Amino acid sequence: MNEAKPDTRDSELAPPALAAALAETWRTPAGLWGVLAAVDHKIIARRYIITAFVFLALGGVLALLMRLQLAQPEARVLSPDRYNQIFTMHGTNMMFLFAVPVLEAIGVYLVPLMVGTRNIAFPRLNAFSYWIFLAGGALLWIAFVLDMAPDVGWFAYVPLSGPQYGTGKRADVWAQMITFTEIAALAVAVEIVVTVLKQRAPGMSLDRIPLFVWSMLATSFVVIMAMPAVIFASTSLILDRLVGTHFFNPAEGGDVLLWQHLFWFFGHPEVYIIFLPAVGMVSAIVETFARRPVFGYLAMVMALIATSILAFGLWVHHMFVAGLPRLGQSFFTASSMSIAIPAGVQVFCWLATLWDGAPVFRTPLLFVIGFIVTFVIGGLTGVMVASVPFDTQVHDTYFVVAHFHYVLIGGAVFPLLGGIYYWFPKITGRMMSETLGKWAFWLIFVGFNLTFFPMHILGIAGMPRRIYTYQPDMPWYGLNMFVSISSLVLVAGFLVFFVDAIRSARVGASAAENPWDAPTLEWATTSPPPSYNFAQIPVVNGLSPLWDQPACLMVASGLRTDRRELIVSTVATAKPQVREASPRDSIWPFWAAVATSVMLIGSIFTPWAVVWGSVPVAVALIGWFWPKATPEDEL
Amino acid sequence: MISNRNRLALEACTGLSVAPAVWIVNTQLGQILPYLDCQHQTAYSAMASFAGAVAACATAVISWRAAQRMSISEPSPRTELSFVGSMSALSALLFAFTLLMQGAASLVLSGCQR
Repeated sequence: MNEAKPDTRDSELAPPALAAALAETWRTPAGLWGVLAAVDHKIIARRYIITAFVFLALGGVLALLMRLQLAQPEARVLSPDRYNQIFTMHGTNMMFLFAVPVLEAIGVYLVPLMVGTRNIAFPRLNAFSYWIFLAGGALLWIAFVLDMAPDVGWFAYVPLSGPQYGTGKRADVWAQMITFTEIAALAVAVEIVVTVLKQRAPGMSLDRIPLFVWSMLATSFVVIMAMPAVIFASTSLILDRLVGTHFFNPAEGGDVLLWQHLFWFFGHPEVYIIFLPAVGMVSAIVETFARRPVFGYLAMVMALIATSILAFGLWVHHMFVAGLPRLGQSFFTASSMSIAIPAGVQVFCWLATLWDGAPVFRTPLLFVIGFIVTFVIGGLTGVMVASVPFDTQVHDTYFVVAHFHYVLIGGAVFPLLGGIYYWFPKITGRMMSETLGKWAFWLIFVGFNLTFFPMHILGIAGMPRRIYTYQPDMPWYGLNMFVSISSLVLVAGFLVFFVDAIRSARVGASAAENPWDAPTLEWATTSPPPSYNFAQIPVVNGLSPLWDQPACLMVASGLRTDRRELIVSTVATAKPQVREASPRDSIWPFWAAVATSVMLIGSIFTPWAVVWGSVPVAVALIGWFWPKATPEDEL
Repeated sequence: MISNRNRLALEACTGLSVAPAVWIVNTQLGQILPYLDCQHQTAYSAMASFAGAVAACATAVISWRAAQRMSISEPSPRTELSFVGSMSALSALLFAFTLLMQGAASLVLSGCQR
């Protein structure tokens, strides 16, 4: 063992000795113990990303099954009951198990690197969040295999999901899966907020924070504000179903509409929880490939923050047919249309950046162009459905299905895929294939538009959502067949992407530290980064540190090498305040997650599971926080 | 006693804190006042919205002026707070626009419509 001497500082060691000492201090143990006890943000984020993409693939299979069923009238591929489960699983899986987790995971990987620190804040909470997320995903998919998957839609409206109509345990599985994924999301959000506000590299004042980091900060605040509403809603639903409370039972003084308000107070910001990280990725990619800083940095930050606030004043536009006063609804129409302004500001800033720069059209930038096209179409139909008269006509039709797929796939999946191509070299140390990347882009772009654009027409022609089949005399057959065939092109694009990612991770060309000549700090370390991220913490003098100081980055010194230490800095100016310990690997977050999972799953069946299940949770938490006599426990 | 520096920092954040708060309050009023509008045949909703828009514009001015003073403050300009002030002012203008839209909606619809 290469044990570092007590209180050795980084400035006292030559570079090779420093790297060796830090590697020893920050290493993750090998074997099963290392797998279960790891707290390195990069390891946790990689697991999150891979797991989320597995869920994407599973959700894609469900979508294909639905398209197979709908390709012809009166098809019998799926029974009505199985179809109900499948569309519920598809929406729930894509929103809660893919979109939110994968975008947060990209933040978990990149934010500490971009702000120049050695690990995320609360790394054990980070590990806990992954295990909880995994347990929630497993719960949903095991329930599906056992034919007890939820069948109440991804928003589980009462009274359909209540005790009167939602018999069995299907709605309970949905509600408790929500609890799992929301706990995980909240944990990650808290970590990111603290990392951004208190762990930035010296000199990275508020006006020098990368736009992706701003986007993750804004997203995290939205998560913290929005998720409690749905946790309250799902918990109330379980209580209604399990112990006979009457939160949503009008006969006993409850309110059905309360569910819609609670769900959509979370549900609409959820769209921006998915969208904001994606626009952060777009800014990073545009900046690098246009070879100039993003035009209108101030306006971009304003747009991110204003969007994250406005997101909380739009939820009623999902309830325009619920019978609220017209004037009250119009206030939400006004806010819904206003949010197009910050979105438009961002689009114009990206276009101006590309216009004024020298764009290099590599695969990540292609996905960004695809994003701009599809997101603008989705945004325009968004303005349309923000209008009460129009929304009343197309509510619950395929027009809405088309709209939100344009917003969510166009607004989040295109940037995500571009982001994967962009940061893949940093994460794996290998480049993805440009040729396969271009194939993947064009297949996905063309397949997506051929699949989802006709759904606008189907919606205007009156085809409702969530129907498992339709009669031959309805005028929807031809377009549905066309949509189903087109979805195969989309699937082919994703297959090319998966093949490229798996192949490149194994045998792709080696990546340099900064293969794209990008300006932000994650490219200042090796590809992939070492366990300690940076041998010495960088000092930032501008918005684009690697372009501002191309020859040699200034660094701060004075951190100990014999214990896990990082710099805590001030919120506004990022002046160093103290050296703070970062916790070592621990098995306790895993056990805490196991105990929490047993308690939550048990509570689907008996309320006593909460009482008895809290004992192992308490034991795991005591173990988690018990001093371990490591150097990090020193005051 | 608030120091001059802290006062400027507070002013810089006014647009980003007060203007959204006004918008949130007005959105809530939009669920309450239509009943009064209908009952009394007045335009309380419109008045509240336009008053809110004026207030949001005022916070934009306060934040913008604070940003200008920060950017030339002696001995060292506080660029990060000047940045916050400018961003705050722009945000306040966006919320002022939203409040204006809500006010315009109040003029088009009556509180009696269901």
